[in-house]
This record gives sequence, structure tokens and C-alpha cells, in this order.
Amino acid sequence: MNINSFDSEMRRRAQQEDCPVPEGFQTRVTQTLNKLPEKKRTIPRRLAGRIAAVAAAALLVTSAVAASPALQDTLESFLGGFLPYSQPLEEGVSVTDQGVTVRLVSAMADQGMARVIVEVSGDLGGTLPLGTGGVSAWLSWEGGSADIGKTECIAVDPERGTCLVESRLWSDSIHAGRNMEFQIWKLFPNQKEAEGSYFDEGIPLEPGQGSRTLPGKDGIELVSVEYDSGGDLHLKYKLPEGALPEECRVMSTLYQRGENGDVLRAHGAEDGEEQNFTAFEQGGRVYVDQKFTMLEGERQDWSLAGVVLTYSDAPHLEGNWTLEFEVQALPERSIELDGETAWSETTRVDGLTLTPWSVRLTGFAQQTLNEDVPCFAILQDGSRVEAHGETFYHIDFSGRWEEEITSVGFWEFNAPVETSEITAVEIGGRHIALTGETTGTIA
Amino acid sequence: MKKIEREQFVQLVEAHSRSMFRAARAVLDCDADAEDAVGEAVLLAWQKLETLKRPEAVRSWLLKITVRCAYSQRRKQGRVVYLDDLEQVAGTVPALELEGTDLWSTLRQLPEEQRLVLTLYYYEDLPVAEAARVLGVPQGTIKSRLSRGRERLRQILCEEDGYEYQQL
Repeated sequence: MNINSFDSEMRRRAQQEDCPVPEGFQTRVTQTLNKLPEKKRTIPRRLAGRIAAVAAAALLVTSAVAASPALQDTLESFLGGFLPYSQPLEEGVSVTDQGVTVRLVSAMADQGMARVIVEVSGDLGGTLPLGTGGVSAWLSWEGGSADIGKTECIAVDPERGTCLVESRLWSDSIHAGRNMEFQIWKLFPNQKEAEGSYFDEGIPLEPGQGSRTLPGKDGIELVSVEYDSGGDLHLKYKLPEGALPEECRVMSTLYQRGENGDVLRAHGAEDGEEQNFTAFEQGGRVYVDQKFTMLEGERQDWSLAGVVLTYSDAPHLEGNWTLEFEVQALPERSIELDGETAWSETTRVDGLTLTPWSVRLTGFAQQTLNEDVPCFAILQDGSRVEAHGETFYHIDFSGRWEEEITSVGFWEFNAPVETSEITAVEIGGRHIALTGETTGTIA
Repeated sequence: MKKIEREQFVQLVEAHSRSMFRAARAVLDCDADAEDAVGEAVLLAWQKLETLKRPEAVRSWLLKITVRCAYSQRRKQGRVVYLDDLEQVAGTVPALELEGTDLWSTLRQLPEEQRLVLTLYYYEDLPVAEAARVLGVPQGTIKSRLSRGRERLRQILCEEDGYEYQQL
């Protein structure tokens, strides 16, 4: 039976057998449809145990960081030139679960990006690591969701057990004035990472090879390489002493190269591909065994291109720390560009939006312009202010409907810029006039 | 574009509600959660109706919103399941309890990414490009999940039903 026959058989079975649907489902759908509001309204949230406090935030708001003067200084330094936009809140929005309190400190948004800073305090059983990875969180807004986000711990006061966590999301259109929701569901105190990167040459993986320490500063130990009876490949790593099995994670990338060195296949590298591993204790040490499902014909000549081991000696916390709040968008200036302009073969642009912290180019593209495309705002006095493209704002739109695309590029200023003073924008060497008779033209 | 009126919207949702439930159920662990996700999706779709530019794509559009609502619901519940929670000692296949031997029960044994793609591919008969749009991932990702999911499905069916599905 070939693939087409198999697929035909599966479709036939799908039509014939269908999937079980709960009794009364259709009736309940009709009831929901009968209650559709005449006007758009807030979708009710039904999370139990959540404090549904709404804090109105005009532009940027900050609240005194409750317990830590050191973190207050860090916050002000971190916000830098955007601090003057802030308005102190008399009462912070906060939620406490399992003795850990998450409190809203700062929120700011325009149509392309939102930034939220919260203070996390309480007994975490350890210290959150600086950078990304120590917090599992999500930032979303009513009626939409983030395509790409970044959450990181930006400052820690270990004496007081307090830290600041910033979460960002980038999207096509964050609607102003809508409710935003920030949620932490996991905290990973004392989490560490060991990383090895061998993308150029790769580390050959020979079944039956003995234990070896991989190159690099982190000294990762690859204990064994084996194919199991089902033909799947297993890589076994040894973790540093003190690591807890339940707190271990591994991500490995494998390459299978051809004779000329080109990569024929990759495992573990694809976005969304599952990382299949088991951590266990043996002989007083902790190991993690990562399994790669191999199809026939794939079971040879693999090399290790990269590995990241994540581990901790403290258990993670799971809870529900959800904050809901309203944020007003930063003031923006929008310019319609001269018709639907072909920026490149795969990119059309039709608008430019400026806010004190960003430049956003709108239109349609197969892929967003990435951080390698320089962007400058030219001011009335002739000076040039650079805006940088955030690495995370790099979306492959090939899975989108054409009509959905709005943002093709997004660049951020390090310090706020008065948008009324911007006379032109230069993106990738192209000049876009924003004043005079040539407003909206691209040269 | 002719505006879709309320009555039309109701008819469209009723016509595709089963598809929406299947997609949500492919992501979520129980019928009740899947129904909740469908309910959220219906309200969200009504709210975002003006963003539907091509009425002929309404099924895929509803499915896309449903999948997003399902993932959003799972995130809020903190139900991030790592495979190491399911697997036993390395080298063994997890012994998941079979609910039945129909295709849907068999699909439930697959990893979620593969299960969702196969649901869209077999139950909704979506081509790869359309499935990519529904899930918001590149077509290459769909093809990869389809390939691996198909192979694992074949292996399970061979064991379960004794079907003579030869190597694909």
C-alpha cells in the first residue's frame, strides 16, 4: 500500500467512523449562537481563583517596587528614557498563589509590541536565574494572542527574595485600550543551562561509542549513543551533581550530512518538533536519555550539531498567577505610503506607523524583515536616530492568509523619540519621506 | 465583500461545529475542555467577523480560531505535558490505554502535533497549504509532522488491527 492508498483508506475511515461528540453538543452550540451579543463585548474569562483586578494605565505606569530599593533603582535604570512617561499607581495589581506574589509594576504597549514588568516575591525555594528560561509566562490581549514572546528575569534581589520579570510580545495588531492578560504558570528557581554548539563540523555519533566530554566551556558529558530494538536513536547525557531528575530538560539538534557536507536531514531543529527524553537517577547520578524516532533509511551517519541541557537542584513551582489590566497605547503617527509599493519580489508595503519607541512598516510579506535591515529616523535637525530590529520579531508568514498580514518590519528605539520631529525614515537604505509634497514616497 | 449577517454566521458555525470540536479535541484532554474552547471560538469569531476577508475560507478560519482557543485554554490551565512524563525507561513505547480500535482512538495515541495535523488532513481533508494556515506554521512543518505521524499511525494500526499496511 503506497502513501496515496494509505491516505485514501484513512480518509475513508475518518468519514465512516468520525470522532465521538458529546451528547447535546449541537444543542449547546445553538444556545451559544442564540446568545451572541449585538455589540462586541468582553469575552468572559472563567479562570477560577483569579484576582480580576483591572488597573487603568495611561501610557506607561510604574509602581514602587514593594520590598526592594535595589530593584527600584534597577527598574528605573532599565526603563531609562521611558521613565518620564510613567505614572505611579496608588495600588498595584497583584495576585498571590502558594506564598508567591506577582505584582504589576509597569505596562506599555503600541500596536506592534507590548512590554510588561512584574515583581515576583516570596519563598521560591531558590533564586530565579537572570535571563530567559526561569519563568513560563504568557502575555496576551483580549481578542488576540501573541505569535512571539519573550519573558526574562531582568533583576534579582536575593536578600529580599524579590525579582523583576519582563515579558514582551510582538504581534500584527495589539488593539489599544483592550484588556491585557499576563499569566505565569511555572517558576524555575536555580535553573542552569549547559550548552554546546557544533553546527559547523558536528560531533559524529557512533553507536557504541564510550563516554566523552563534549567540547566547550560547559563540559557536557555524552555517556552513550545507541539504537534501540525499534531502530530509534538514544543519546544519554550525564548531568552535574545535585541536579534533580524532574527538573532536567534536554534539546539536541542532529544533522545527517551528505558526502559533500550538505545537511540532508535534521532532527530536533524544527520549530515545534517534540523533544523526547527521560531523566533518571542511576548510581547516585542523574542522566537524561533523549530519543530520536528514526524512519528506515535514516539510521546512520548522524552528527550532533548542538545541545542544551537545562537543570536545577530546586523543584519548580506550578501555580496560577494571572494579572488582568488595561493599557492605553502609546501615541502614534501613521503615514500611508504611496500606493501598494513593491518593496521586493515577496514584500509589499502600504503604511508606516511611528510611536515614541518604534517604527513599524505594514503591508504583506512572505517573511518579516529581520534585524539585519537597518532603520533610522531622521529628525528635523538632521540627526539620525537608530532603531534596532528585535531578533524575536522574525515571522515566517507562509502559513498565513495574505489578508492577515499587517506588519512586515518592526524596529525599536533605545530611548523615546518625539514622533512629530521625525521628517523621514530610512529602512534598508531606502528613504521614506514623512513631510512635504513627497510624503509617503519611497526612494 | 458582502458582509456576513448574523443569520449567515449562525448557519456557518452550525455547519462546521463538529469540525471545530474535532480540532479542539485533538489539542485538549477531555470533551468538556474541547466544548469550552469551541464556545470561546464561536464568540471570538463573531467578534472578529470583519477580519474574514474570504467567506469561502470560513471553515479554515473557524478551525484556526478554534485551535488558538484550545491552546490558550491549555496554557491557562498550566497543562504543559512533557513527553518524559509519559515515557518509561528509554527504549520502551509508552503503554497508553486504548479507548477503542477506531481511527480516532488510534490517533489519540500520537503526539499532539502529529495528532492535530492528521486530524486536519484526514477528517477535514485539508491540503497541506490550508493546514499550514490553520496552524500558523510553515508548510514544511506540516509535511514533516504528516510524514512522521503517518508512519507512527501505520505502525500502531499494524499492531492493533493486524492490517497489512506495508512500509510507506
